[in-house]
Amino acid sequence: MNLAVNGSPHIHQGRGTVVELLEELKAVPAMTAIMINGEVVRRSRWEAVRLAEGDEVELIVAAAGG
Amino acid sequence: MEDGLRLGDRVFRSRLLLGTGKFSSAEIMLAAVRASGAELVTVALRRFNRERPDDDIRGPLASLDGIVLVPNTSGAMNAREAVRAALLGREITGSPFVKLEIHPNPHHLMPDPIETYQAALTLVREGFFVLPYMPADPVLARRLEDAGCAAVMPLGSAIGSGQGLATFSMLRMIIRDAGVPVIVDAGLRSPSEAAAVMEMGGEAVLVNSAIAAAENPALMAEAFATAVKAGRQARRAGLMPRSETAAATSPLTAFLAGEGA
Amino acid sequence: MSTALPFWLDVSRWLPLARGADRRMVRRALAAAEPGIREFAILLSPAAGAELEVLAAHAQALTRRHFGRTISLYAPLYLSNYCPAECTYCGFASDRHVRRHKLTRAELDSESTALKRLGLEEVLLLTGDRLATAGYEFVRDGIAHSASRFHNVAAEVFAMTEAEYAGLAAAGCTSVTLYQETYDPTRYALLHLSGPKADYGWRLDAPARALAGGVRSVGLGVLLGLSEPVEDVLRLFRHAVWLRRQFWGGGVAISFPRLRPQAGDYAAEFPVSERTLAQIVFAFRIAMPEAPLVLSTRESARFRDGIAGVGISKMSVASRTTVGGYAESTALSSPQFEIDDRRGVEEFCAMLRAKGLQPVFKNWDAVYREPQCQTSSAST
Repeated sequence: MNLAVNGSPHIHQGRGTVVELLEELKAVPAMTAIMINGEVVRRSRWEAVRLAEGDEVELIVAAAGG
Repeated sequence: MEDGLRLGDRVFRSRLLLGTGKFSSAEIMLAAVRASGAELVTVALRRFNRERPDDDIRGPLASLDGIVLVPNTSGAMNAREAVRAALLGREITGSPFVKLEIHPNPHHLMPDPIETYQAALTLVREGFFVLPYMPADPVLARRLEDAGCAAVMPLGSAIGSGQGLATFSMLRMIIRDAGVPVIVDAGLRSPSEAAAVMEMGGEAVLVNSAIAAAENPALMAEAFATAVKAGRQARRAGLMPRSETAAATSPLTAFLAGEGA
Repeated sequence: MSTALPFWLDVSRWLPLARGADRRMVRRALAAAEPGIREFAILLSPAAGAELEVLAAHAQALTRRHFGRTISLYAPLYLSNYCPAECTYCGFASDRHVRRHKLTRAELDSESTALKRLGLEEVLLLTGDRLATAGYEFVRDGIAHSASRFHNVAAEVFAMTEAEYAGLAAAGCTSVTLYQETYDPTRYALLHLSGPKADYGWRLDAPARALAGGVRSVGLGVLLGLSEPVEDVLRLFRHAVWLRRQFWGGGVAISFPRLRPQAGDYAAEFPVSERTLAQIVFAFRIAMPEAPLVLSTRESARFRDGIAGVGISKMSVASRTTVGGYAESTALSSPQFEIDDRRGVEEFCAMLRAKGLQPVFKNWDAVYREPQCQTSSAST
């Protein structure tokens, strides 16, 4: 399905679970936070959530700064 | 633990908090954090970038024992954005601490008191231990404390201004009336300033630029750690007061001699 | 009511300092940048008492810094001296045969007129302990009426609920004065034999209820002479500090009533000399530099003249402790206690000016009060 990830188009090959998307992008699940369509999706809901065509995803990590 | 720093429901040994920005490399940053003995370290939030996986700081910092990552909401321009940043930060770090920083003006980077207060209310309700970066205003400090913040973080001077403890007299007032720890943040230039904050009753300091921009950040971090310990120890030991002479011009208590019946 | 005593009543840690501090500690306490209970205790010590002139100089400097060279003036106005309580030391106790009276609206009006003619703009309304005929509504109506005439209306009445205090505040009450009399629960029980006032815990909590109810400031005090003064005064200090912590927007003022002989019998079991009273005032001023410190006309003219502006920032003037007596040439009741300083307003103000102090009859609080307080109550 077609998604926007961090502002860029991305074609997701999996079933639309969060974990699969992260694996696809080589992001470490334990160190990443995710927003779907502007909403923060808590880790406890990752199993239940399914991405849909056209979803806007933001993947956030901790970085040096602050 | 004797004389620990109480924040939220935790107690920490170190009273020096470190920011992780502005270092020339991750290795140097890690060396500084290690040398400082800091247990609370602030981090920024960035978009994940698959081309640059090294930007992710959690990996390297995980190599240090007992460090609590505190996400900083810097970049947020208003309460709504800051709350979203805090929620994201909690997902990453797994810890309830958040440094609430909202500065809409990019020239002086002064914190927005109104957005900060609004965000604090929301975040406290969400169960965060909120550490709000704030202007050195005594009334705002009490309002944030009443709102349930775990500490208050008044600035010594504006970020990057190099003005040291420009807000000294305000900080005294804040410290005197505070029921939560006062952590002075921003503007601290030298270890002696950090010691001064501790001597006047500050519970901790947060330092970033002064260490990151030093010639030898690890050594500077150690110097700050020593200064914070010295200042705290001096406070506990009871500082000798400045001498004050009270010169009575005419006897003020002569009226008491008339007490008869 | 509540049996668990609050933590701040325990002052045992500071008693040794208050009894045995030495001269060096006194000097350090005077120079402390942020004086607290420790410094306060040291300033109560005999060593501090031996340096009363030095304490006075500090007290004067601090009073000037926080209040300028002004003295705020007010007059007490008894609304009623009917009282169901038996307090062994009080001239209005229920078992005393004294003339009792309760002001009618018309009488309150003429008393207020008389006070205003003297130039007074702040009045302290007093009653005895709670009675059905002189209860919450009676006090509230008295406040509402006075708020339409005076800039500041304070109340020194029986302990009320938070909701009642909120009602007083809405009616225009700017301040509630309530002396614990003594913080020693054992002594308190011996002195307050019956009536609502016998409930120590209910009274202790009342200033906090007043502030929670929206009253802007409270006045605290102990009746010096009832108990061992050092411990009582240490507890008073702690009470004030605790209230300021809990209610950072609320003001706390301290008064210094001292047992003087009344037409009758109660002799203080722990008599407090003028020197001790002065030392207590100075200690409060030094340890709480911005708190209003209040002295009534119980004290002699000589003492009042000496201590005005040296710690003390607020004083009553031209007082009557009878119900009525400002407007009428004869009072309508017996007095609660003897007044020592009987000077009228003009004479007292002349003394203040001669000392370089300006009498202040009002501050501008009233200008900022909510509109509902400005309409006088229509009920009789």
